[in-house]
Order: sequence, then structure tokens, then C-alpha cells
Amino acid sequence: MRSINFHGHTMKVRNPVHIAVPITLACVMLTSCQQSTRTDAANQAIRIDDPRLTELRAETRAMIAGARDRVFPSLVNIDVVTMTYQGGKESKSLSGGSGTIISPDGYVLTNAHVTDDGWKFWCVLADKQRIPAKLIGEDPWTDLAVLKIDLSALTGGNRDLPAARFGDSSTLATGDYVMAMGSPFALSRTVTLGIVSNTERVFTNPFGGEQEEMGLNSEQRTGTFTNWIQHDALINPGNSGGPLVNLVGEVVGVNTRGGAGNSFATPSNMARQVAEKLIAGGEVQRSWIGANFRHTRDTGIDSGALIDSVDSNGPAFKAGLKAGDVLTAINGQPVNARFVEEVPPLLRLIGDQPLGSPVSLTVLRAGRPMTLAFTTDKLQRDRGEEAALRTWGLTIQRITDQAAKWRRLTSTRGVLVGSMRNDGPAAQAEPKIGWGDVIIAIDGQPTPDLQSVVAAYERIDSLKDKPEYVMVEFERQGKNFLTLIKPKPEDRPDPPQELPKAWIGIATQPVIKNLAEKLSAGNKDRDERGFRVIRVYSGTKAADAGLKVGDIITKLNGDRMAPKGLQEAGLLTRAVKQLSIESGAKLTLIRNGQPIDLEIPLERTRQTSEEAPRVRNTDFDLVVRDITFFDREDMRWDDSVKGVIVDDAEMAGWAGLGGVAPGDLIQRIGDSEITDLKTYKAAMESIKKAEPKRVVFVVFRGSRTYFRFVEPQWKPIVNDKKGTTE
Amino acid sequence: MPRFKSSLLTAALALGLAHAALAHAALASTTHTAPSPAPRAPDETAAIYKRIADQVGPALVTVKFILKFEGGGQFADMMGGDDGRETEMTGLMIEPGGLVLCSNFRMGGMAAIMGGGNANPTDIKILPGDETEGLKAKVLARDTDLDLCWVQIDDEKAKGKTFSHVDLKSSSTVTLGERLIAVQRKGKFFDHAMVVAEGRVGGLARKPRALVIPSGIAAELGMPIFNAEGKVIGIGVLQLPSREDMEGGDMGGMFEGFGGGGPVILPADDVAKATERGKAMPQKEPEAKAETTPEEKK
Repeated sequence: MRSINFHGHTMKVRNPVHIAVPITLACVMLTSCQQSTRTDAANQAIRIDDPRLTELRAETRAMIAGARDRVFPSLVNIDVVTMTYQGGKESKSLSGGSGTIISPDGYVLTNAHVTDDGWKFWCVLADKQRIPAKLIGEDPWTDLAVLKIDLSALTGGNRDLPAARFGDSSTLATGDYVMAMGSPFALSRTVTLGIVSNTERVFTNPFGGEQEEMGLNSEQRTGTFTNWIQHDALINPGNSGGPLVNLVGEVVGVNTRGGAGNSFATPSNMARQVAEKLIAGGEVQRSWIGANFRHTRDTGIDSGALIDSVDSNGPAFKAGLKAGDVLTAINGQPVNARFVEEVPPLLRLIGDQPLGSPVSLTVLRAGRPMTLAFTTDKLQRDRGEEAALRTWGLTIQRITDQAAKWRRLTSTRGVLVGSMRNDGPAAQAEPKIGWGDVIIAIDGQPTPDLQSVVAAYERIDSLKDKPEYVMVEFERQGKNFLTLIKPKPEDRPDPPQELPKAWIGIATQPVIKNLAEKLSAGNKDRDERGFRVIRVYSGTKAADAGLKVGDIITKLNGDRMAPKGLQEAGLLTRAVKQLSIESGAKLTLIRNGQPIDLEIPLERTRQTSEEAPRVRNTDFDLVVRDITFFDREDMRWDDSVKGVIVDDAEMAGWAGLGGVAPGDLIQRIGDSEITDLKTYKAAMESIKKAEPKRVVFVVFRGSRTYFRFVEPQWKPIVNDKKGTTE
Repeated sequence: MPRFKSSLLTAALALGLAHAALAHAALASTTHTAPSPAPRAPDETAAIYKRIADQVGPALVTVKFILKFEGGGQFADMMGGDDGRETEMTGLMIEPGGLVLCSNFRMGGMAAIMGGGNANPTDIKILPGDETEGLKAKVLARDTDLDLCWVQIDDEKAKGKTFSHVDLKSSSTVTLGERLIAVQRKGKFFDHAMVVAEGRVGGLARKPRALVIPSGIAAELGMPIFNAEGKVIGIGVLQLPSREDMEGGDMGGMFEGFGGGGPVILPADDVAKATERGKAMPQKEPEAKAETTPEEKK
């Protein structure tokens, strides 16, 4: 067995000639296929079933399969329940991505935008087990995150998970074969093949060619320190966080972005470093000096990097750095950023300085060199923590330095209002509190930060005798306001009841002139215009009175019912509605060509699904209602069919996650048979007391039953990024 | 005094007046060409407007509520979804005990027509007169066919109070061409100023039910229409085809109901009868609700 180097990958082959010859032949074929008919070599064109090609195909296949098999067992699909703050409250939804197991004890590397706002995580392993995981840490600046699989939840005995190996991303070259693994569009365990298109890609804006600022979400920058590996192995939504793999089966990148056939991965050398720091300390601490850099192309500057702007809050500003200075060295080490691709390495150099360490910058100002010395600060996240003040109908956010700059605030004092409930107390206050306002005091007490606002809210909310109003002082565009809010929980009364009206338990169609003539078989003495009975609802007085499908009602209490056209399809129903429910009605009808008079008692209009009372459950995020008369008629359910109908199930609510959907008829919950709203409420109260780990819903959908397994979260959630799944 | 002298005086007066008139005319002809205005007769219309405004004004109350949509749909999303949207409109107090008549369409009846789902009014407050503090209220019943919704003040602060109202039972029938006086209030920007408008009975419909078709005025939904004697003749309502009519293919009625014809007038007698049925609706006692929020996140 000999080792050969093929596009930078070392392979062991039985006889390199077996590779070399077919490869040579393949190259000849590929490069000269157009001329093959015109040259002598063309007369020796390789047949598709040539044994040498067959061997090439087999070796290539083995190579790809080998690389795949080294990483595939470590590939996971990640399911995430996210919790975002909108509409004045927490809002759950679902998302997903891919990841790679990087250690036998279950650390999983993925993207930060996969775990962003995540509240609960699961990893689906190669053996299809779906195991809970917890978030260890996120680094939004590089869009990387680490989860840890809960080993105690594994079944099958073996607690050592297959871990992938990192490769050296700095050895990648344009043209190298790579594979992307992941779950595009939630199609788990998918592999695509491509080549490296560029090893140092930086995204630039179309004007000036400067590095473009990318966002992890609307409030957090990302990608600042990254020279991306661009490749053309197809990736799609769902691939995020999955590995980019070389033909030796090593992880050389983390697939992060893509579109229009272009894919971008974070290099593995950076990813490994970030993962180690997240595992060690839950975060990546970086130095910050408060300066922005621009490459020097087209500036007339020969070397160094142009200082584009200086943050007045930063240490470099305090040391005297000015926009327009040209940075030539950091701690004596010369620096150069002639092209945009050289900017991220410069930023990494600064970011990787130990926190609080002394730094000296050598700059040129008006052609004269000078040295500025200072210690670094910590690079802070752009986006602050959030909280929901439910009974006030507000969500709030800590004001970071960056948020203060973006919103032109003079300081980080107070909290930002992130969202409010349209019908909530904050939105109904006069003046209302809205998005972007900064709350600075509650009931006269200053609230300089998130903790103080949450403390004030909890104190007021826990009072037995709550105050009618809470005074809130807030700032908006530099102006100071006072308002009063009236805290109250969300109110959802039952729908208003429709006035009961008289009703006959039938459905009809208007018999207009032409149809009437046909039915009368040309007998001009017979006028069969009227309303033909097309359905008699079972269990109604109409059914008891003997009305039949096919009867044509021509008079109601002696009044002629002769519709002029289809626009009068409701004529009979309207006429009946104007009668008193207690009275009866005399119908004149034609049955089989013969006139008949029929006395029929009237009854009340039946309740529609819109009017049916609803019961809401916030533990499972479900809204249910009773079965109505028309439900039974439409679904052909007789009285033996019992249960409650799901009117609404929040998609990322616990019941929704378990597969309970609107329209389902819940017939059993756990051991309780559900016959109506009363039994449903009793069952839910009993479950709430017991707080089981899993609740089984038996629902009827379509023409059969389904078992739905729901795992609700009973305990209050603490916004602690480590160990979120309590 | 002898008669001839009074005659002389009269003649002199007449001559004098004529002279004055001629002089005035001569003066007028030298300054502008418009004829001099005739002496003003008492304005009967103004008196009618004032009488009706004074009679009805205190009974026109502001109704504030949050309209919450459930069941999704594009219209629901546009109107705030299940978070709801604060809405304000004018209602008519029809009983001294605080019963207010409103347009069902504007109190949520639109949802089923426009985009599906339910729209429920919540947090209802009635502001009578110049009150700035609303009185809590609840919906007793609605009648989608007639476009009516009955809201009852249900607030401790209203106990024992009587409210100015319009008595629908003292109503009148109408004939074609008869004068109609409509009243409504502008929005809060105009401090809910009362507006009186006038038109005529343009038509009398029998289908889908007995209705008065106004001409020359727009009947405001939920608002009363009077005759020149100040008797209420009906309430402005929106009449749209029923589900059966639409299943029968009548979309034309929908266009007529909304745009082509606009609101029409439901006779006060029919409103009064429906009101009695609405008042008789059995009401559910509100349940004590526990706030189950295990997901408070700090």
C-alpha cells in the first residue's frame, strides 16, 4: 500500500499506477474531448466501460464514501424551540439546523444563528435517537455555538459518541473537493459535493469595496472576524451549522451561509478555537479598542490600514487615536491591509489580545509617526438581554453601548421597549408606551437597568392589592414623558351570542322558473316555484314532522314563497326567522307532484362554531370548544362521538409540538375520557396538579384516531444561557 | 283720528318706504350689481336640526373597545391579529338603565365577512356625554341579520344612574319622499361634535326585509334617523346577503350592501322587537380564571 497526494489529500492506494493512469486518462479525456475526433489521441478515445475508468469510478466512490463515513456518524440534526419577545410577551416557534459532534462526551458544534433565541434543543443522532441538549455557549461574532447532548438520555448502553476530527483549514486550496453535510429543508443526513471556490472570501458592499456589516439578526453583528471558505457544494436552509468535510474525512469548515449556488463556511481553525473557548468558559472574550479599519486600496496610502472611525467610548480614543490616522504596527508588529481580505485578520489580531492587556499602536498622522498606548476593553455583544412584563403588555431589553449608538441615545441608562401588546396596558396608556421608548423610572423610582425594571414589575405584580395605576417615566427622541399604565392580564371573553331565531331543520335550494317548469312536466296549472328540500337534519322537529328531501315548499303560513332567482336563496330562511320560535308554521309543499299541507313546530337556530364558548389553556397553548350541531352534521358524527374540538394550537406550543392541530377532536387525555368542555377542564386541572413528564392526547382527525405525545414545560424558565433546559 | 288721516299716514309711510327702497336701490346700483337680500323668514330647518340635536345628543355615546381576531386570515392579521386593535365608535343609548345599541358590523361582525375567523369585542367602555372615564360594559347579544349589537353598561360607578336615551318605541312610519334627519358624531379629533344631515325617503324595500332606502344622506351605521317631527323612524344598518344567498351565487348583493347602496334604515319598530329579544338573552356568569403563566422569563 502506498500513499499518494491527490489535491492535497493523502490517500492510501493499492497501486498508485491504478490511480495515476486512469487519472491521466481522465484528464486527457476531459481536456481534449473536443479534439478527440481530430487527433490521434482521439482515435484512442476511452470507452465508458473501459476497465481503467471503471476502476477510477470505484476508487473515487470509495474515496468519497470513506470521507463520508468518517464524519457521518457525528452529524446531527438539531431541533430548536425558540422563544422570542414580540407582541408584548414571549412567543415560541420552531427552527432547526445541523451540527457535528466534536467530542465523545457529546459536545456539538453548530452555528449561533441556529441556537439564537433557543429555549429547548434536541439533537437527532445517526442512529435516529432524538436526545435533549443544552446550550453551552454562543459566539455571535463568528456565528458559532456549542451544545451538549444529555448523555443520560441515550438508550442502547454506549455513552461514547462518535466524534469528528478537525482538519487544517489553512491547507485548503481553490479547487479542492469538499462535501457539505447536514439537513437542508429538514431532510436530515444529506451530503452534497463540490469544490472550494475561494479560501478567503469577505463580503463587501458594492460601493467602495469595504467589508459589509452582516447581521446575525436585526440587532447583532456577525462575520466580522471571518474570511469565509466559499465553495459550491450546494447548501440550503437547514444545512446551517453542519460540517464542511474534505476527502480525508476531516471537518474543514462549518457551513454558515449560502444562496444562488454559492456556499460559505467558517474555517475549521477558527471554529475549533471558538469551540474550545465556549466549552471552557461559555463565551469567547475578545479585546476591543474602539476603532474601525479600512483597507488602503484606492486611498493613495502605500501600507498599513486606514483608521476609518474611532468610538469616543473606547480606549483608543482616550489614548488619542483619530480617524484618518494610518495604523502601521501593533505592539511593534507591522500590519498591512491593502485589500479587504486583509481586514478580518487585522481585527482578529486585535480581538485575540488578552483582555485588559497593554497595547501600543504605531500610527502615521500627517506623515509623522506616533505611538499610542492603552489597555484593551472587552468587546461587548450588540444585543442585550430581554424580559417580558406580561401584565403590562411589554417586552424590554437591556441597552448596550451599540444599541445606544444605533438609536442615538445619550447613555445606556434605562431599558428599551422592544414590543408591546396592541390591546395591552402599555399600548392603551395615554400617552402610550411604544417600541424604542426608554423606560427610566417606575412610580418615581429610577430604573437604570433591566434588573431594576424586572424587580419593580415583580414587586407590583405580586401585591395582593395591586395599585390601579403604575406611573412610568420614559424618554422618546430626547423628550421626557410621564404616563400611567393599568396592569391587567390578557382578557379573552367568549364570543357574543347571536339572537336566537326561529328555524326549520332543513337545507333548501330555490326552485326558479325553468326548473319549476321542468318539474311540473309542462303542466301550466302547476307552479312549482318554491324551495326544494335538499337535506333534513337528523334529530330536528323537521325530521319528526316528516319533511323529506325532494319536497318543494311553495307557501309559508299562506304566503307564497316563489324565488325570482338565486339571489333569493335565503328568502324562506329569512321568512322563518321572522316568526316566533314558540309558534308553529304551516307549510304548503309539493311532494311527488301532489300538494300537501304540513304543520311543523319551529325551533331555535342552532349554535354555530363561531359562537361556541372556548376554553384556553396556557400550559399547553391550546384553545378548544364544544362540538356544535353543525359540526356533527358536516362531519357525519352521531351522538356517540364525543370530545372537544381544537380551535387553535400554537405551533410551537407544547401541544402543537406534540402534533395536536386545529380541527382535531380530543377524545382522551391521559386516562381521562373527554366528552365535553367540562370533562376537558377537569382533566387539565388534574394534569396540572400532577405535572407529568409526558401527556398523551388521543385525537380524532379525518377518519381515524391518532396518539399524540406531549411533553410540557412545567417549571418557570430562567434566562440563563447555560443549561437552559431545566 | 279721522280715517283719512290714518290713510294719509299709511300712504305717507308707504311712500317713504318706497322712497327709501328706491334710494337704496340707487345706491346699490352704484356699488354692485347683486340684488338686495330679501328680509329673512324664520328658519324652520334650523329649528328642526336644533330640536333633534338637543333631543338626541346626550343619547349618542362613545363606545371604546378592543377588537380581537382569532382564527387567522389576512384581514385578521391586518387588524392586529389576536393582539387586537383599539376601536372607537358612536353608539345609541336606548334605555335609561344603560343599554346601548351599536352596529354589529363595526363591533366585529365584519370579520366573518372580510376574511374569516372570529372577531370579539373586549374591554368595552361606554363614555356618555363629556365623560372621559369610561364605564365598563358587556355585550348582551348580537343579531348579524339585522346588523345590531346590544351592549349593557355593567359598572359599579353606574349603579343608580339613569342615562339620556332615545325611545325606539315612540317611532313613526314613513312615506316616499318624506324628509329624513340623520344624526351622528364626528371622531375625537373634532371632540365628537354632533352632525345633523338631511335627506328624503328615496325608497321602501320589502326584501330582504322591510327597509327604508335614504336618498341624499348616508345613514350612519347604528345611528338613528328621524322624521321632521323628531320621531325616530329607524336605525342605519348594513344589509348583506346571507350565506345562503351567496351560496346561491349572489355576490351582487354584497357589492350593493357595501358600496353601491350603502347603509339602509331598519324600521325602529323592528329594532324595538329585536331589542326585547336581546334583553331576554340568558347571560353566562363569567368564570373565575387563574392566570397560568409558567413561562415568565426574567
